[in-house]
Amino acid sequence: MKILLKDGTQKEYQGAMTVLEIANDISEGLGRMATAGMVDGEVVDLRYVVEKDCQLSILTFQDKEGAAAYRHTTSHVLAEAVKRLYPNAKLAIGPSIDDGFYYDFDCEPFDREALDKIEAEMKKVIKEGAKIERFSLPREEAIALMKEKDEPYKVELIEDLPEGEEISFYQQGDFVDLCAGPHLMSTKGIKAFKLISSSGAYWRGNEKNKMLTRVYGTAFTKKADLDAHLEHLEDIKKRDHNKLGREMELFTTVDVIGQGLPLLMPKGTKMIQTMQRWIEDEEEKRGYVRTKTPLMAKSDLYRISGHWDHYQDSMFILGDEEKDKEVFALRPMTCPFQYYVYKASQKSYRDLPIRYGETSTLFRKEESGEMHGLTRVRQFTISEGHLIVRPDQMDEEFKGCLDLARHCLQTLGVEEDVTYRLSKWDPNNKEKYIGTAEVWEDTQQRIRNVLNELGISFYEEEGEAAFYGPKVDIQAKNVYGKEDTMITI
Amino acid sequence: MAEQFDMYYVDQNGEKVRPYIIHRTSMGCYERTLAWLIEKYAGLFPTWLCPEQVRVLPISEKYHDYAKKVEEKLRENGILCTVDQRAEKIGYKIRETRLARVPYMLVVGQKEEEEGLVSVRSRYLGDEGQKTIDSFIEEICKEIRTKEIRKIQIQEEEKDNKK
Repeated sequence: MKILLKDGTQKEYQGAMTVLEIANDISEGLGRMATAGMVDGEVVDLRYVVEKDCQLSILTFQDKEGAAAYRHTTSHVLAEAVKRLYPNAKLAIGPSIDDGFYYDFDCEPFDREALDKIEAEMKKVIKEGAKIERFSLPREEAIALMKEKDEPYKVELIEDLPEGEEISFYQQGDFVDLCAGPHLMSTKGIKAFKLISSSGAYWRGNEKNKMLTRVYGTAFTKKADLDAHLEHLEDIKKRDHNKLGREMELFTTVDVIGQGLPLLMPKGTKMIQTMQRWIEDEEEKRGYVRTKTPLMAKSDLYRISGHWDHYQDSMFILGDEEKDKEVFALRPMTCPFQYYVYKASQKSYRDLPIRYGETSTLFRKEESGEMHGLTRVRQFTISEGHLIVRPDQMDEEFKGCLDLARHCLQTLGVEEDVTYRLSKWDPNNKEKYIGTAEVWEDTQQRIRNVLNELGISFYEEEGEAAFYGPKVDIQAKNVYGKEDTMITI
Repeated sequence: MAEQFDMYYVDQNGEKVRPYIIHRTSMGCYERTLAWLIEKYAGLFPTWLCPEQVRVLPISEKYHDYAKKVEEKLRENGILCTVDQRAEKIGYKIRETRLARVPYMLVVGQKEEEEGLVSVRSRYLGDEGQKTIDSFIEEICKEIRTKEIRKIQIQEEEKDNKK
């Protein structure tokens, strides 16, 4: 068979070989570094047997998928250590994540002292250096094995696997775990690791399920890299707005007031006021006029806007439709209010464009589990606005909006940290949106043109539009690498 | 949306036409932006955004009156300013001001009072020397007005914050 390697060279072998054997054949060094393979674009185990012509890459810790395999094996070492120290702990799931790995256990929470103890046990597991073996079982036998080991979460996972899917296990010493892999050949391969923290996590992320104990960790091939990473985490922790913002007395939260309802303290309020005045002045310079409209309205309004049908679950509703004559809802957006300002008098083509701005407080009924500091809140204030324009003014005005947003980002010194996303509708899910396909496609194309004209690099994503139109989302990453939408046009 | 709310304008021919609506924000949600800035600047905000831009530090109680006078003048010019009137050592006050992430401190004592000066220490350059009150005001007002993001050119404060 002929194997085409990443660097373009070709190897020829007589019979079937595992990925590891091929890696060793290329060089022993590569064999030692290898953590997984990639065959025709698919990640495979080092044990995977190559039988026919293909493109093969040997993955090491330097590759994203290679690092994932390395850390995933570390998560199995963690699980083995926990089972040794806490035989009653039940295993849930333990994947690799961007910067490390975690494992969920059904057992009592771990404090730092417990994590240190587990780390010590993990070092023993690594020192023992058990060979890791892979095997698969038919469904019934797989379930029987996990029942015998008294691992109910694993049983549930197997039962949920689609018919016909291979059910594979990895075994190191006496420790067996249901897993698709890939994994290292032995626990010996792990050079530097650290358990970072422990927190609660619901089984399958569903708050109706049992709360499990999640342990986060990370692993590297060199101790120096691990240390650098830990230092970076420390720096991030110091910057975390949810911590630093409280320390600096910019905001606080209070249980009896509610989750997602932060209180801005004098210093935080001053900062927001400074920004607000600046934005309002900047808008005025650019020909905006201001409105101040109600924070709530009758359900009738949201019926017209479509929010009642498309968005009701995310609104705070005041009153009961069955009992009350009038039901109100706190507003999740400013749009229809400003539309009625527009409609208060007849407009001629000469009046357009009209640019309305409002410093607008809005309400969104987010799930309580999603509340976080100042970024996931139930009440917030935005520099909202609507431009009512003639079709021939559309491109120019859209450009003006982008220019204003960019100016704001530049002034705050954060433009280098954002990416621009053209959020399109999902043409396969038309019932989620209002308006015709023609208008959607045309508007999207116009926005694309404007972005190109301004020389803004952007990416496109389907299914991210609002139900009433496509948009440009300006996204920023927080210190933890989580993306948030900062500005929407 | 223009249809749902029956919005229109009258064109040159007297016909009713649907307008386009652009829904936008200049800077999005203020709370989220504040969170973003905290993380971006690790609390060391550009001067124009700081809730406290200047702290006046009299080196002893004798100079409280002069410190108050300086504060008043700064406030008249729209600068966010306070005075640390506690009976603490000046070194301690300076350290606390840094920890509070206030970008400018004005140390005042006998010489400053006699000559109408302030001794400027900033997070950006450290010791910026003595200046007249007016020239300090002129400089910081310009920095605030232009929303300048001054570069931090000294390491000293970082280290102090870590202690």
